[in-house]
Amino acid sequence: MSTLEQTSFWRRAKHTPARDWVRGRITGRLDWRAAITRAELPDDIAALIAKTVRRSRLWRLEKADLAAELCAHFTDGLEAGKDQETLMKDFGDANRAGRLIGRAKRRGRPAAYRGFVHVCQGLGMLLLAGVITYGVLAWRFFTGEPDIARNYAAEYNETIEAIPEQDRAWPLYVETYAMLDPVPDDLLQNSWPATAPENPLYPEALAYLERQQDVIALTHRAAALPHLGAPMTDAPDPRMAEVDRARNPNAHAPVGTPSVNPMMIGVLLPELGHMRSLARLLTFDAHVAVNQDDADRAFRDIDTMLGVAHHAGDRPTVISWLVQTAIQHLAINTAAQIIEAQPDLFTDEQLRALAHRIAAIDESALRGALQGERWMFEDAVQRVFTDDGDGGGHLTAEGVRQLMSFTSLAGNSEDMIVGPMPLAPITAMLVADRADLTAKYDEMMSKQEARVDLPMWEYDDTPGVSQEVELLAASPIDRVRYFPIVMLMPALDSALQTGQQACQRRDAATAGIALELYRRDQGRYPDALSDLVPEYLPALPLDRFTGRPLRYGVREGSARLWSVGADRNDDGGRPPADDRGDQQRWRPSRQARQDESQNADRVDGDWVLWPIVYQPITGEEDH
Amino acid sequence: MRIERELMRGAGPTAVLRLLASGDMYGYELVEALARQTDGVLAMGQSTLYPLLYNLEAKGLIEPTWHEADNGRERKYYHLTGKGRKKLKADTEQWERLAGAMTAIGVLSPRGALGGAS
Repeated sequence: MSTLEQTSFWRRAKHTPARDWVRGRITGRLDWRAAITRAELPDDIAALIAKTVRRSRLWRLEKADLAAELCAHFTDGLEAGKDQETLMKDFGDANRAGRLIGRAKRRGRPAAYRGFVHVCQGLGMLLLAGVITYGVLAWRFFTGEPDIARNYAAEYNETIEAIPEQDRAWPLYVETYAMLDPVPDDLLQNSWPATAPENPLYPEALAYLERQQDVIALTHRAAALPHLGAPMTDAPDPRMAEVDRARNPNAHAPVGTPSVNPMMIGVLLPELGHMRSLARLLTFDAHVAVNQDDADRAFRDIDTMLGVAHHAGDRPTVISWLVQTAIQHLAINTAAQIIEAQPDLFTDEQLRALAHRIAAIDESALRGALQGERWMFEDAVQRVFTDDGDGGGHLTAEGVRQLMSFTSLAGNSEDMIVGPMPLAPITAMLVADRADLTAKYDEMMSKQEARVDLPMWEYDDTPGVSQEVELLAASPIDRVRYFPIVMLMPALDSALQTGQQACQRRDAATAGIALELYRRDQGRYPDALSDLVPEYLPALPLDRFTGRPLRYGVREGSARLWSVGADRNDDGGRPPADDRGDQQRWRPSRQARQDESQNADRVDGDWVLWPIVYQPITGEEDH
Repeated sequence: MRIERELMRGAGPTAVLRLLASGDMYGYELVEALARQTDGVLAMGQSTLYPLLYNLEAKGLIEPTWHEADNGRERKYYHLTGKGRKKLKADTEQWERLAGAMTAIGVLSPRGALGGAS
């Protein structure tokens, strides 16, 4: 019986190519080991052939063909009378033969297959290169450690500690926080703090106000002190946290120990919300005082509001400055509304004092806030990047984690910029080096700081920093490259705009008060604004859009001051029909004219600055 | 005398093609013919011959066919293709020019022996 016949059916089936199966033949011709066995060669030669075939690493059909050929070769040699040793010696090394044969045979494979192999090899090389590159980047990203060299909060707190305790208002504000009752919900949702005497909720508002008189008295004391004196910390004030827990035991009130070196963007500013509440309370108290003809009380409330505003802006952040500006705006509006409603309420001395207090509002306060923003950015950079000692450094995993923990708490979706952490080493490669990033930030901030000192009429048409940030955010590359800037740069264009508007209101309010003093002295308003200078005003108030004096006129017995507004056209002191404040927002003059032609109702008109008519909410619209 | 590998790499394929030009041959037959007809100068181990044959096959210069020999066993015979014939002709011309050039500068004597050794 032959060896083939001795081979089991299952083994032959296993070594039969598909094409033979299709033809219904169980050939077992892929079984190259059986082919060697069938040749009945001496064991050493059979082993040599088996080793050669195995080392060739060919397909099974190719191996079977090779085995058959080598068996025939050695059989021919033996039949020719050569001995086994000579034949094996002539054949050479099996490993080398197998390798060379395999290589040569593979060259004969179909072109499509060879092309496929080349593509796979290429892809494999690319993959390998990618894996190595990723490994290097990941090692760099995950092992890099930021060097937190500066403690900005501690540096700021040193200046706080230098302030004598009796000059610090913060402890008094904390006490007012503990004493202040929350505004009743129905008041808060309807009219507060502009609740008019005709409003059905007025008695409730009066009762609430009465209960807060101790708070107001303490606020007067606090606002008169020269400094806020609140330290930079990332932990809630213990007294305020205690009050919060007592008021709402079920709410999550974070209790934490302050970090030794807190992240600047994590520093809490608990005074801001509270000061806004105090300012609203003082606004209502001033209007109630007017209703009771109590000029001293109304004057003191406005004066205290300006003091609270000063304290709100004590910390160098843009948000603090914005709250400061908002409270100043509220104080100026309250004063203007009272003067318009009861021109003879305040004494001359009180009017002069108000004018001086309002005129003292510092238009360069934003510069200090921008310095604080720089600290905030520099602090973030030192926590996010390594430091090569020469201004450079690369992004680190620990830094990204820290940054994201704050931005995600703030609901900022920018945390997706660097992607999920496993992909972060790749995106980190795209992020600008620490030196480049800092230089870019510095360039943008310097540009904005230069604008702080410019009145609007000297603005050029180049895009502001916020527009630049928007452009960075819109670009897929720059959005990643400068992601800390995209995340951390405040809305500076809007802040500048707010600052310019505040200056314009300040100048108009001081001029408005001067007009009132002139009327008291002369029995009529002046023919021209220049008549106020220098006895009532040191200089003419300028229109922030044109650089020329504000426009002035007497309408129906009242003095009126206005800016020509963004369209730079004098409309005789007439506000736009649909006044949404568009005339107060700076735009290049060409764009303003274009807006006017497209939307005349909202844009065509002037920005009326004086009088500011008090429009308390009566509640009639609800009935 | 064995030929250096670099020279063998150029001469081996042409020698095999030349042998196959006179008729189909199988592996062992080629080994024997090379050794016998060149007095062992072009003798090569099978670990060199078979890769050489498979390379020529991959280039389409020769093609193999399994035939039953007189003794009843299967052998793989190699046959020179048309492309192989053209390649042999071109290689032969090159070898002749090379030999002529070597003779001209005295490396080879007109009789074929090394000039330096005569």
